[in-house]
Amino acid sequence: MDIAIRAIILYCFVVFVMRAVGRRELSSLTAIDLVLLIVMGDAIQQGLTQDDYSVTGAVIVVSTFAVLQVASAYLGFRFRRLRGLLEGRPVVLVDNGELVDANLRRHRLTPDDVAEEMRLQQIMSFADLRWAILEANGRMSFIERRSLQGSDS
Amino acid sequence: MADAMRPIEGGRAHHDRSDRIGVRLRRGAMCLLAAVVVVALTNTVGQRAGTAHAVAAQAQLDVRAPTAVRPGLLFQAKITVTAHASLPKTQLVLSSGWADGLTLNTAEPSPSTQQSGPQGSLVFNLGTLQPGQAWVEYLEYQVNPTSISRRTQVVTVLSNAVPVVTVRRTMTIVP
Repeated sequence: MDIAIRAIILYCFVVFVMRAVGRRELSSLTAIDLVLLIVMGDAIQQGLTQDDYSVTGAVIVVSTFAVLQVASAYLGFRFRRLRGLLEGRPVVLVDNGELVDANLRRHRLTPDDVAEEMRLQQIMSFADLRWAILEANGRMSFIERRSLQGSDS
Repeated sequence: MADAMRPIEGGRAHHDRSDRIGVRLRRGAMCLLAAVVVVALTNTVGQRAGTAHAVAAQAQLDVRAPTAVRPGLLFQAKITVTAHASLPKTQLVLSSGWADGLTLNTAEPSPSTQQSGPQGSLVFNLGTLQPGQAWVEYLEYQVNPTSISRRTQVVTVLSNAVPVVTVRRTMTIVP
């Protein structure tokens, strides 16, 4: 019984931590992010299974995580507000070629971070962008003016 | 492109049917996983403690310990002997089910003497208990990872080598 309860509590805690640290860390792993993930995994293992060497314990933990994962996905699917809370919402970083400073600050991003992602997508200038969006999974997506013009014509 | 899509285009009805079966299988699997969680939450696989007790004219015996435990984990057994009459030369006898495949880390308070009894049982000498006096014995255990079994655990209180009261319970060590 205790192991299922521990799994439920730690799942909620990890979701809370991952939402709190921000989505930037989800897509790019810096050295500090890596430390967080390694330490977190080790610390959670101690609290979760303790000295439990049983197959039953492992089955309970994995089953609990799977059920919670499906339950949270279902709740996010049924209730839009909850989805925003659990998974986050897309955030506009560049609107019509202009950086949205408030959103950049909120997610601890600099214009250089956006520029780096733009270079990876072979986009030369902010002026070429209609939108740059930080997606819920931590990745950036770019919509160029050129592509919009192409679709209009 | 057309070649790659042919199996999908040509067998739409087949794919719809297999999709439905796939969804049902997936839902069935999720129900199975949910059942595992429910079973765990109902304490079927340990390791919340339960109490077994027996009352006789001369004494009452209460044994509080989990009925299901998992390999590697610590647990406590609390045995309370309450004397209703004077019990000279009181002995607490734990059957081999309390020792086999388990590591007894500590027994508190330490009995004055401890000896081996018949059929691998453990015998704790408690001395003389006066009427109304209660002896509480705390046994701290850890389950050996390889000892998966279901065993009978018997606790007997003897006075002058005569059985006074007995509690019999079963404990399961789940895989």
